[in-house]
Amino acid sequence: MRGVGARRGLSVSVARMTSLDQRRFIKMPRSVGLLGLAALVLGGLIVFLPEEITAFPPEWDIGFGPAVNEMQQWWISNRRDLGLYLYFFDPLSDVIEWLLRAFEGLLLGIPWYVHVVGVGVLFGSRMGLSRGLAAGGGMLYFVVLGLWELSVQTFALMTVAVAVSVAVGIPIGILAARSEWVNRVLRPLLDSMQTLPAFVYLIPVLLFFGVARVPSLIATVIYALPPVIRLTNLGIRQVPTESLEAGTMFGTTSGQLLRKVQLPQAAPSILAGINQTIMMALSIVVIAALIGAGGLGQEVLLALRHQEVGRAVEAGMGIVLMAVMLDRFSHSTIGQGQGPLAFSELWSHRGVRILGFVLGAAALLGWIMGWTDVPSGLQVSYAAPIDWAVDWARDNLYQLGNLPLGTGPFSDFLTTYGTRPMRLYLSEEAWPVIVIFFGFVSWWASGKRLVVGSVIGTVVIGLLGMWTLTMDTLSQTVVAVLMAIVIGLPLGIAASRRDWLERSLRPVLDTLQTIPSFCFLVPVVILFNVGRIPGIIASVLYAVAPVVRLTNLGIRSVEKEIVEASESFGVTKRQKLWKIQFPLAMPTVLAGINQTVMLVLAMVVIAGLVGGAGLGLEAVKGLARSDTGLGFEAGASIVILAMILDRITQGWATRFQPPSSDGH
Amino acid sequence: MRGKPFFRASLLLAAFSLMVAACGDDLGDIDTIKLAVNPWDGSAVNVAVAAAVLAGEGYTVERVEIDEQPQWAAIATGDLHASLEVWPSGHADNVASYIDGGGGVVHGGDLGAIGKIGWWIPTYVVDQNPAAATWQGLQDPAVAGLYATAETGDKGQFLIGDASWVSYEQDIIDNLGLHLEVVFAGSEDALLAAMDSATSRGDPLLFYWWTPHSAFSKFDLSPFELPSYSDECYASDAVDCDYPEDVLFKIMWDGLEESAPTAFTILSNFNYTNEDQIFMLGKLDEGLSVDEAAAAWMDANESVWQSWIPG
Repeated sequence: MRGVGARRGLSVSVARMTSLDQRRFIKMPRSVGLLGLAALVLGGLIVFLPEEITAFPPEWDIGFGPAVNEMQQWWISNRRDLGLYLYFFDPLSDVIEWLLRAFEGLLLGIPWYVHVVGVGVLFGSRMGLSRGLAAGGGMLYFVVLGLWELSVQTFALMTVAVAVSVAVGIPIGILAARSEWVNRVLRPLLDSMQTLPAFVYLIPVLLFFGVARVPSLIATVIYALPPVIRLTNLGIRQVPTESLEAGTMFGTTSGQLLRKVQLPQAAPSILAGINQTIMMALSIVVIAALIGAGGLGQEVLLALRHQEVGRAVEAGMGIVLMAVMLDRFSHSTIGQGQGPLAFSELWSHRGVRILGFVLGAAALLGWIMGWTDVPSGLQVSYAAPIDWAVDWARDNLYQLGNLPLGTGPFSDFLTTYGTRPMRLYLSEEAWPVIVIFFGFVSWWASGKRLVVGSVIGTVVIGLLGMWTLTMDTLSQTVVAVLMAIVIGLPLGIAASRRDWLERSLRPVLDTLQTIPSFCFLVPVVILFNVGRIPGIIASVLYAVAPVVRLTNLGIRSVEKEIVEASESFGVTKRQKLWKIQFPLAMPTVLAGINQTVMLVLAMVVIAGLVGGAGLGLEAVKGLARSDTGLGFEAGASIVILAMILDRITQGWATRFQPPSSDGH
Repeated sequence: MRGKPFFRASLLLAAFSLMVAACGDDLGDIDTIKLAVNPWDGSAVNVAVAAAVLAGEGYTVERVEIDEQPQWAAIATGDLHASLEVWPSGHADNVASYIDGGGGVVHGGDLGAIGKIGWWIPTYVVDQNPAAATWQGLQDPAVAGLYATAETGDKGQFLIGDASWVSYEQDIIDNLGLHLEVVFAGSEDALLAAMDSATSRGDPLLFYWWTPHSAFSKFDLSPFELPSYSDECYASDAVDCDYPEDVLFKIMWDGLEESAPTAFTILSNFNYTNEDQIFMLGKLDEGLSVDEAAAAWMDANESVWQSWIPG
């Protein structure tokens, strides 16, 4: 049997190898390709025309900014007489505020040592002794670094935000699964919620929800809600029709069908959605602190204000740790497939029950006696070595002796030969050429339908009055993505060949992606000067992970048979990589690049905080000057740019997908 | 099934502690004063002093850390009660819509401290090249080129931080014919980092900054010389002179006077000088906490803060 299977695999793989080269050619009609090329060559020359012709006509600016600001002003002056505010937003925020404080009070009332042991036991019982000890140790991090109260604050806010997201998201997801119409309306909305920078809606959220803690919670929910909705929707839609038909045959009502068949079967997908929602909620902890969320985010901001990088990293690593622990824990529930139900099973162990009671008693006793303070003798800090390292880098890496080497000269080089010429070209090029270019690339990558979308999208950016700024941001995005590929691709290839490298890269990449980018702000400016480069460096640090991960994954998951077959043909190692493994891994690699593009765009605002100009700075100005209209115009342009680039890179990735018809 | 009794018990426990937590908070009328702490030390010491004085009169003070722009919306609803250090140059729009426009905020009197925005350079630049420290000097492209970067090309770089700062940089540069290009650092943090980096190497740097600020204790900075301020200069469309002084002021929720009259009077009377604030900022640099710094100042200046308390 084995021999047959292998031979079959071989023939399939050889067939795939031969069809590979054909697939990689552009499918667009040759005439269109030539036409597009000719247009671009001609268009490239238009850059020399005067500005009146090339610039997007300013009189076409139909920006909705002023209207948004007028609405905001009207709301400020009238809200205290409005029923909507008095009887809806105000009481709602009071209830949320009360819930938050109560939850926070409850958590802080339980002594820290009970938390440490309790979390350790919880992890240990589900994932084994070593994980349990690691989790308990993780909890001690917050204690010994003096971050206990702050992390409880962050945890409480995040938990309530996730609870609200789940309570709102699952019903919406169900609705979307049942109605095609809702689904279609929802999709662009969810895309926008995920790509619109939170900076843009902080002020409006404050105006609706008043109290300092509540608006941060609402902002968190807006950002973190989409995955629950998406994956609930997806999970229900993926329930096999056989199960549904079986249910209907037995005469179940649609409500029963939902509760007894669809939701249980969709549970793993929904839990995955909740897991992502938790991660998203943790990723805007610092931004939420800008409007009073407090907690670890506030600690990062305060540390930044005093240029204390080490202190910011301590709090930032606290956020990373929280994310890692919640991620592992929610994965363990997904893995078991039965979610919270498993707890009753856990409770049936006698030892666990006794331990539970002991902990409960300790909690009660500690609470009554007020033994909740963390002893100050336990405090440690690793801020000093980090601060020292930053100073060392400033003094030694900015420039090596008198050589044109180091971070400073590198920054100048990248500015002079990278971002600056590209920005000048893009913003001085006649705008219709850029629009046509986007249409052309969309067609090439994905097909005619996307052409309409990207042409309309790019024109709307112009109509919003954001043309030049968007070209600035686009040029930075291109440079950052290229840099991420240049760094990430070789790393991913190297990791795919060495297990030790893969293992040691994983925690580094996880950390880079979860540590708040605010922690990097000071070091990148110190090393790369104020301007577009530090923002690009910070974006690359944040966005390089998917390229590395998916290149590694793609190459590793190329079927063994194919590799072995090629080896039997006597190819060299290099040929094997470049002719076999890499091309077959291409769809996965491109999926990684797609994610990287999205992550770079998520960093646009952060780049604006270190001199990145472009749309990021406008979004920052929107918050900094209470100019919500301006913020929304910039935010909308970021959303449009993100959607176009997302669809293009996605389309590009699917072009490399092997034809799905050979499935069986 | 076996899990249920414990589940119920823990629910009960949770409900109980919620009740306790709720009772602790609900003491009736407004006796908890919520003060905005903006992300700079001056704001923190103001609030520390106010908190100590208000606590002496029986109020509980809650400090809410919030940026200076979002605080307006929160004060307007009464979710925050006051902010003690507002820089007029950054908030003309907010004053128009929240105070003059009846948006729920009232002017709470002057803080007493005076701020001053201006152009600044590290002192070593003045020592090495005095011409680079005056506006006449920067009319010469060669001198202005001292401040050039890869981004600004031949022109000198003029660095400005937080986007919320009101600035007449472009006007001043155009009207005085200076060979400079304005670059937005985007945040105060980034500008501070740029100062740290440049001063560590003795590189020239020209930027927008203000006093009082704790940065002066870390960096040796000198003012860049602009034509001195005049009302006429700012009345015209073509600003070409130094910034005016900023008379810092306080803002309060318009319902505070009615719901907490004593607190309102204390906060309205709250007033001290730059020296007072700098005294406390110095204490912070010595490693004291904001509350310790406030206590140190209050010990030495009892008559000042006693005079704020009514009756």
